[in-house]
Amino acid sequence: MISARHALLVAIVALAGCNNSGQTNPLLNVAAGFVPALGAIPGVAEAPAASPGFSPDQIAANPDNYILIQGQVLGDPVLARRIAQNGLQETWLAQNGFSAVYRDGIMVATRGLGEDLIAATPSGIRAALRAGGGTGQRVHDYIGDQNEIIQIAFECTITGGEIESVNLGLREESARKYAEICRSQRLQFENAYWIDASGEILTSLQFVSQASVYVRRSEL
Amino acid sequence: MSVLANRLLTSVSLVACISASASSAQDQGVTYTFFGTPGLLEMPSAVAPAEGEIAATFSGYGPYQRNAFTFQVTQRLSATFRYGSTEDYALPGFTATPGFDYYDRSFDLRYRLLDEGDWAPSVAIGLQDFLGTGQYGGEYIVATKTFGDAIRATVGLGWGRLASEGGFTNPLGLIDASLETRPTLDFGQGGQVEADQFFRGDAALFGGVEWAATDALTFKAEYSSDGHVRESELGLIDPASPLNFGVTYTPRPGIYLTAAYLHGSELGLGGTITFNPNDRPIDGGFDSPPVPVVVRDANARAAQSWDRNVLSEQTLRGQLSAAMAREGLTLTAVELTDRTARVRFTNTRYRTEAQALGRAARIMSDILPPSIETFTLEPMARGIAVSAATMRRTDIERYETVAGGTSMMQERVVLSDAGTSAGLQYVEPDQTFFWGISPFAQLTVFNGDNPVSADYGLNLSASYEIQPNLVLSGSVRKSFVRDRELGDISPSTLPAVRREGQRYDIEGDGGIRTLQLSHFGRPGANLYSRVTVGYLEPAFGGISTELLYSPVNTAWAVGGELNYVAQRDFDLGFGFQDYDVLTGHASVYYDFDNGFHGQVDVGRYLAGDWGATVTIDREFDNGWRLGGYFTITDVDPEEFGEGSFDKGLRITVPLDYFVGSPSTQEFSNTLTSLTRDGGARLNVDGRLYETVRDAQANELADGWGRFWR
Repeated sequence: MISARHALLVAIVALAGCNNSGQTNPLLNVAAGFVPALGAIPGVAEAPAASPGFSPDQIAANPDNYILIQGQVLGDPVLARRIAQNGLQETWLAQNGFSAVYRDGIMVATRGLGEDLIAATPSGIRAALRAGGGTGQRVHDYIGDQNEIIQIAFECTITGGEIESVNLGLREESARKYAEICRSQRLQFENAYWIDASGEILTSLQFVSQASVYVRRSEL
Repeated sequence: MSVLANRLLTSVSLVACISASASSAQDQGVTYTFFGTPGLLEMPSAVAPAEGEIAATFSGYGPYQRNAFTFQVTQRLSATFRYGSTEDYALPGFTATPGFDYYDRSFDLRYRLLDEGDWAPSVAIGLQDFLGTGQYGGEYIVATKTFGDAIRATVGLGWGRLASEGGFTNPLGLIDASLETRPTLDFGQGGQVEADQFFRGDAALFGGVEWAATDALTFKAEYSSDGHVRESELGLIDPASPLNFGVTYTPRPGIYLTAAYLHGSELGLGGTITFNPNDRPIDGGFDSPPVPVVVRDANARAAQSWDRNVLSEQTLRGQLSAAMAREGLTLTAVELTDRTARVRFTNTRYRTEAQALGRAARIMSDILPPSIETFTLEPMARGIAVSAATMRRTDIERYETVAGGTSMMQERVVLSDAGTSAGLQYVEPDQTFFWGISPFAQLTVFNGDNPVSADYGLNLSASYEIQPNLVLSGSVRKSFVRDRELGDISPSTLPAVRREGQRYDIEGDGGIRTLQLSHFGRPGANLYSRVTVGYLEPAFGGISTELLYSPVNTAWAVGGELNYVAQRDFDLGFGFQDYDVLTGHASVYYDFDNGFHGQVDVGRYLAGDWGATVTIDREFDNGWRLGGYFTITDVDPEEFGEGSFDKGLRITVPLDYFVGSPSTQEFSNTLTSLTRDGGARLNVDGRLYETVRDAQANELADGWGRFWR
C-alpha cells in the first residue's frame, strides 16, 4: 500500500537539505562516499588534499615524531604523527584520521576505528616482554550498543620466538618476535611484537576489538 | 611496506569467539504470521523474539492485504499495529460495495505468561484487534514447545474470530455461564477497548508444527481456527479446509519470506523484515578522535596561580572557543580564576551530552593553565545553562585511558544545577543568523480509499539570535508535488481546531507556517521558563508560556503550560479567525529506571475540552524511542467522531544509529488515528522538558559510556 514511489521520495527528502550552520548532514557524507559527484554539494566534506602536520619538510625535521600505522579495517599503512606524550604514554594520529594511544609500547586506546578500544589496563605484559616471556593480564573497555561500557578481562601468555629480519620501510632490522596470546571467557586474540636487542618494540600488531581487529605500528 | 604489513596482518591475526552467547530455545528461530505476529501462518504461537525487536510484515492472500509492525516491548510483552485492506469487504451489518476496499487499523497485545523449560512449554495470552471495529477480533491462550533444534509444536485455544472454525462451548463457562455467549459487537465510533467481548462465546482449538529443515528453510503446517466467516458470506474467500501449509525462507538473519497454501483455496505470500534497536549496526560509531588529555607534571600541578600578563584570559577564551568549535561545541561564556574554570557551551554534534562533556574536558586540559585544577562544565540548551558538571583535572588526567576510567569519572563528577551568570565573561558569537532549506515530505495515511498520500516540496527556515536565549524564527513551505486534494470535512459539534488541518496545507501553501519570538530563562533554582509569541504553528498563533521544575538529579519533573491562542486564517497570512481559546496543561514527567518514560498532562485542550493525556515511551540509550499515547477528555465518543478518542503511536529514530557519524539529528513521527478536534494540543516549538533533560542526571547517566569517546 505504501508505494515504492513514496518510499523513494521520502528517502531522498531525508538525504537532502542545506544550511549555514556549518553542520553537515551526516547522510550526505555517507552518500558522498558512494556517489563521488555528491562531493561537489556544498556542505559535503571533501577529503583534505594533505593532512596538516605531514609535509615532507615536517617529517624530515622531526622523524622521531612519525611512525607507520595500519588499522586493519582501514587498508594500507599510513603515516601517523605523535600529537601527545605524557610520560610513557603516546598518542598517535594517523593520516587517515584514526588515533591510537600506546603506553610503553602497549596499545591502550584507539579512536576512529568504529568499534574502538576505549581504554585498557595491561598488567605485566611489558614486563613479560622484557623478561623474554611470562604471563600477564589485560582489562579492555568497549562501548556497547546502548552506550554502556563492556569490560573484558583477559589472561595472557607471552612467549619468545625466533629472531627475524624486520623491514621498517626506511631500514631493515633484526628483532625477536614475541607472541602474546590472551583469552577471556568468550574471546581469544594473539598479539605480536618484534623487539630489538635494546628492548625497543620496533613493530607490533595489537588487538583492538572484534570488529576493528588489529592495529599494526612500526617505527620508521 | 604494504606487502610486509599485509603478511604480518594475515599471518598473525587471530580473533576467535570461544563461545556464543546463550539464548533460550524459545527466543530462537522466531518467524512471523500473515498477521505480523510471531507464530505459524495465521495462528499465533507463544515464542517471542528478543526484547526490542521490531518486525515489519507485508502479506497478502485472497482478499487480504496487511501491513503490520510488531514491537517486542519487554521480554514478555509485545504489541502489534496493523493496517490492512480487504477487497470488497464490509463489516457485519453493513453492505459491501463491489470495488470498494475496506481499510482498517487494528492493534494486538500479547503477554508471555510462562517461559519454556526443559519439559514445560512457553505459554502466552493475547488479544487480537481489540481496539477497533474488530474485523480480526479474537483472543487466545497458546502454548509452544521446542523439541531439539528443529521441531516446534504449538497448540492454543482461541475465542472470537479465532473460534470461528471448529468452535465448541466455551470451557470458561464452567466458571461463569455468561462467558458462553459473546455479545454482538457494538463498536460505536470504533477505537475503544471492547472488553465485553474478551474470552466470551465459543472457543476452538488451533495448533501446528514448525520444522526447521535447514538454517534457511522452515516448513509449517497448522490447523487454523479462523473460519473467515464474514468473508465467506460475502464470497470473498472460499475456505475448503482448516489446514494451512507453508514455508518460510530466511535468506539472511532478519529477513523472512513466506509462501503458503491456505484453507485449500488460497496462495499467500508474506515478507517480514526485523531489526532491533538494541543492536547497533556500527559499533561505537565513527566519531573523530578527540583531543588527547594533557597530563601536567608534578611541578605544574603544584602551581597555585598563573601569570595573566603572559597568558591573558581573553587569549584563553579565544583558544577555547576555537578548539571547542572544531568539536561541534559552541562556547558561550567562561569564568576563570587561578584554580578554577567554568565554561558554558552548547553541544551541536553529539547524541549524548556526556560525550560533549568529555570532549570539552579534554580541550580544557589541553589549553588551560596548569594551576587550574577544578573544571565546571555547564551544558546549555536554547541559550540557557541546564546543569553543571564539576570535575577535578587530576581525575581527567588519571582516567583517560585506564580500564574502568569511564565509571571512575562518573563517580567523581559532581552534578548540580547550573550556576548564576555572575563572574562569566561572554564570548562573542561567530554567528547569530541561521537559515536552512530542506525538502519535506508530508505523508498522510489512513485516509479512506487513498490510504497513503503525500506532499513534497521545500521548506525554508531562518532564525536570528538576538541573545542566545531570545530568538526570532520563522518558516515557510511550498509544495511542488501533491497527490491529495481537499477532502470532505467531517461534521462535528466541536470547534474545528484540527479537522480542517489539510486546508492549511493546501490553501496556505507558500504561506507563513511559523513566525515567533521565543525566550528561554532560568527564573530560579531548578526552574526553567519559556515564553513564545507569534504564529506558533500553522493553525494557531498567540502566546505560549511554560514553567518547568526539574531538579538536575531527580528522575521526575513537573511543569505547567498556559497558552492563549487564536485560530489562524487558512491562507497562512497574518490574519486570524474568530476562534480563540485559553489552553494549557499541568504535566508530570518520570524517567523510569527500566528504559521506560512516562508523562501525564492534565488540562484544557484546543477545543476547550478538559482531560488528560498519558504517554509511555520505551527509550533506548542509543536514541531510539517507541511509544504511544492516549487522551481522554470530556468530549464523549459520539461527539469526538471516528476513533472515539485521540490516541497514537510515535517513534524517534536517531540518525547516528545508521550512519555511525556523530549527529544530534533524529527523525520523529507520530502515527495517529484520524485527526479530530477532541484532545488536541497546541504544537509549539521548544517545550522545556525535552529541551533540558539531555543535560540532566538520568540522560547523562544513560550516555555516560561515551564520556571518553
